[in-house]
Amino acid sequence: MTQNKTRRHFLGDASAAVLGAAALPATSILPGVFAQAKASNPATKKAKTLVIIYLRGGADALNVIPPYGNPRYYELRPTIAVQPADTDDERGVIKLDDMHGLHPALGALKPYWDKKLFAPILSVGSPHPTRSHFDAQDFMEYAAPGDRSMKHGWLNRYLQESKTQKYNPMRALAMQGLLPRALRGKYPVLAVPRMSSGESEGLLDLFDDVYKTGGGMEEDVMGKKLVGGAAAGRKGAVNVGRHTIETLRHFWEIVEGDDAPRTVGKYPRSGLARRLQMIAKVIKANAGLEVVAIDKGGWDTHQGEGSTDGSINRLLGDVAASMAAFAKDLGKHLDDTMVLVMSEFGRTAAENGNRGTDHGRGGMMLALGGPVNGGRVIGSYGTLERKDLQDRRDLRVDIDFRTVMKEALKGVHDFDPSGKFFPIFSGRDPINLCKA
Amino acid sequence: MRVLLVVSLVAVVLVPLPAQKKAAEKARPLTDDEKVLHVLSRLSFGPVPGQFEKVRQLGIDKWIDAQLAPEKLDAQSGAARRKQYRTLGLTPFAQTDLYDKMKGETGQNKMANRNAFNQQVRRELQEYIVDAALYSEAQLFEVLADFWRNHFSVDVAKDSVRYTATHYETDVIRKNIYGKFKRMLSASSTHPAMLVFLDNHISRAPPSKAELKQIERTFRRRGSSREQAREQAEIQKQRGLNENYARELMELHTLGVDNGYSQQDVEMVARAFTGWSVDFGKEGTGFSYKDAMHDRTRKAVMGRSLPRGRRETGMNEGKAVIDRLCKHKNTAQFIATKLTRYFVNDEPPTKIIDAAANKFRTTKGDLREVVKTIVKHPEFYDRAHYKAKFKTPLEFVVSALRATSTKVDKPNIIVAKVGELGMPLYGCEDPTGWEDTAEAWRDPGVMALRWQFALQLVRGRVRGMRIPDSFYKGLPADPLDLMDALIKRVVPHGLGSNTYAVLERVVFKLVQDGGGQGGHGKGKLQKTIVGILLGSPEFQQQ
Repeated sequence: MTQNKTRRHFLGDASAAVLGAAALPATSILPGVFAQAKASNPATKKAKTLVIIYLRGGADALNVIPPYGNPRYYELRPTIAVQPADTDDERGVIKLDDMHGLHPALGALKPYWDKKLFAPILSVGSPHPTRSHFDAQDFMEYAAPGDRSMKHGWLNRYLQESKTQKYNPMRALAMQGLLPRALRGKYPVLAVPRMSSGESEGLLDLFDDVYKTGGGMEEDVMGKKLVGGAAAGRKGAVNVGRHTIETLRHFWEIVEGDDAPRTVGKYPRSGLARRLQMIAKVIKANAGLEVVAIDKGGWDTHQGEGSTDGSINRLLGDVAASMAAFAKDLGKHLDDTMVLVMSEFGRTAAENGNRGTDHGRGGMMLALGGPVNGGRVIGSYGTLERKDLQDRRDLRVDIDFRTVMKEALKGVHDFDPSGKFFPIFSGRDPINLCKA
Repeated sequence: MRVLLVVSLVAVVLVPLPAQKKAAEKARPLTDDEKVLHVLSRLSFGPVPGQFEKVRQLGIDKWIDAQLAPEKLDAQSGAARRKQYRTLGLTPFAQTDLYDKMKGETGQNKMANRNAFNQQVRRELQEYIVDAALYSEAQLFEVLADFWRNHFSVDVAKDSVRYTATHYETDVIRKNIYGKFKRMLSASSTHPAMLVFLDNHISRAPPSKAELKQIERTFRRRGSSREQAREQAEIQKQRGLNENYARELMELHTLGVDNGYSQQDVEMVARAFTGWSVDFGKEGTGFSYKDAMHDRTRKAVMGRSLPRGRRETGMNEGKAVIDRLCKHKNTAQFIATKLTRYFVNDEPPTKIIDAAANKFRTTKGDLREVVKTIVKHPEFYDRAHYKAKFKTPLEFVVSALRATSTKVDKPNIIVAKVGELGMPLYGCEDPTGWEDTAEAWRDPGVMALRWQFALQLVRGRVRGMRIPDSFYKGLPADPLDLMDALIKRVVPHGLGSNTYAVLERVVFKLVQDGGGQGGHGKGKLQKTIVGILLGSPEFQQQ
């Protein structure tokens, strides 16, 4: 109930602005709410952006950042370990330091390591022992391990608590039809539906006149005034339609309009790349974008994960090529953008009987961008000896995922989560993820 | 009338909206026709063509009475429908049996067949739900199934729930729709779908205080900070006792949030339910009471001690809790409020809630009687509630298909559409279920997908379903008469003046462009009108 009340407060801002916009001539390209937000708030121009790419299914840390310097890694994984290359032509571990390297499919990210803009984070995860995808994602996206009373995602909590300006629907974007849990909560967030700009614009134009707020709305066709629920219901329905038209038009105007920023370089052909390309445009247009969430599924590699041949090779290739294209496209905006790749848990240290791995505990994250204190491997896998593994089978959890979230919010948005932001979290042991 | 409209539209553009004058407006009672439409929009997934006339002829009361006795209504077609879904209602045990018998020419082939079977269980459950919502004559039953499925929400994304949800649907939800509330609650409390979804199957007697202190000390020795050690102790505690089910049992299933229980009660109830677990090797649902996990301490819940569970009778404690919760007046009030919000108004009227809660108490939770009390209450027909609800994605999609007599060959496409619109069936991640208020469905951007669905449907671009030619049969030739006839068919409760005027302009334009002249062009005109109608604000209301 309280959630709804406050939500109404947020939307109240928006609908008031929408009503204002309706008074503008229909040909106005930028609806009032956005023009206003832009003009009256110079702060939005300098927004920095945190992009979360969530690998659903539990990405296998040990094959993403292979500890090639540890012979134990090859003992644990006789058929799927990633080998160092014997010759220059061969695909093998791309060495980062004496111990760790990149999976060869991540080659596109190596230049950013060299520029100190990229850092892998190892043995990161949840203090909660669950190995259920559902619970692990739940606890992580609400950033409250074991606490089910939390109903707002960590990114939505950030939007609520850092709200210093008027409602701007471009502060956050989910690049998928359904909001991921991290973005759910009382701050309304635009989930960009999966359809082409052409189709979207056609729909918005067709229904533009139908969803007009203001005069004449509360009459039925016989000229009788609507009263009670019908009037309120109608107003609500019209407002949500109007809101959809305004926010999506604004989005497509930024991404495909006459003044849309040009894409620099070439993206691979993938859903992830396509979504990142749109995000890059919103960032370059200075629309005030602060947080983005993108899901990428397919990481539950119980079978056929492989080393440089199986599914992990394909998945990582897409992630790296898309991220590198995004970084290149951003140009100087990369200084103010951080991409954080995360997953609900890592996988068993040893391979299973199907050239795959099973659910584990500790995992990895990848950080890329200007704010990142990169060019170093953060954390360590330890010895990988049985006694050094969690429950004698999984990577241990040395770094609490909330430490990474906390430092990312601080480093990118200069936002200090209050004591209650992360329930029962000591928040010690900094990892210096971001540049001081 | 049309001339009048155009004039009023012009006037509207010039004259600013008078501020909030509607409060002064005296509410007219609903006309008989409006009552029929109200009933059809709330007690069914929307009228199919011709249904309005049928109900009007039969009389509302008779129609409702028939709906309250669905076993007669839908017996034959219901049985035929269920038959199409081979895995519907299978216990996990029966599924394992079929799974084990899966054959294949090669090992890999066999594995693939088995995987396909696993997917089939989940898919058929979801398909069955939309199929029944679309075509069942027992519409009120299906509407109530939607309500209770959401009240006792479980998510197939969590662990084994994808195998158990199908039996949960048939034996927990559907079996008890018109039974006693306690039966449904008890069935859910012993079903693996609920026990796994809310972690009760792993809940066991917690470590003692001394054991927890020991854990803290161990972590301190290993060099953790005091906070970290305490956090670890907290987490270790969860490994024993898991309060998840206990809390939701009171907060979501019976009393309502913070409504007559304390944190202490949550812990006590959690202790009472330790051992209510699962064993999928067992025949039946897979429920298993494991006495070894049961907490032996003495317990008091809501100020009264529970009958002490002896060896192997520890389950009596949980049963006593359920009994106590079902008799609690707050449960009656909470269930009555939720049902009233669902059927009547986002802001549920007190009079109906009180009548329903009273009926709940006097009939010991007879759900047929409670529902009857709500839908036959005179205030149900108050104009304040007419067209006041915003359709959920499921209601929107199903009502659009019903309104257009759409033939569906592949229900899985509907399942996917409803999911895209934000309401995956058996897929609500939070145990709260979907919110039943308009507010919850008004995220920015969300309407675009409804409009897309409306247009794709009329253009025949949604795979596996199409509006039959017969739907467009018998319509007048004159474009504006055609428009009026389609409005009556698709949005029988009528359009607002703005939508009507916009539609008129669209029709004029299409006719001008030559789209209104017979043959192919006429098809375009009809489809455009229906597309706009399905996407209109009026169609989103019920």
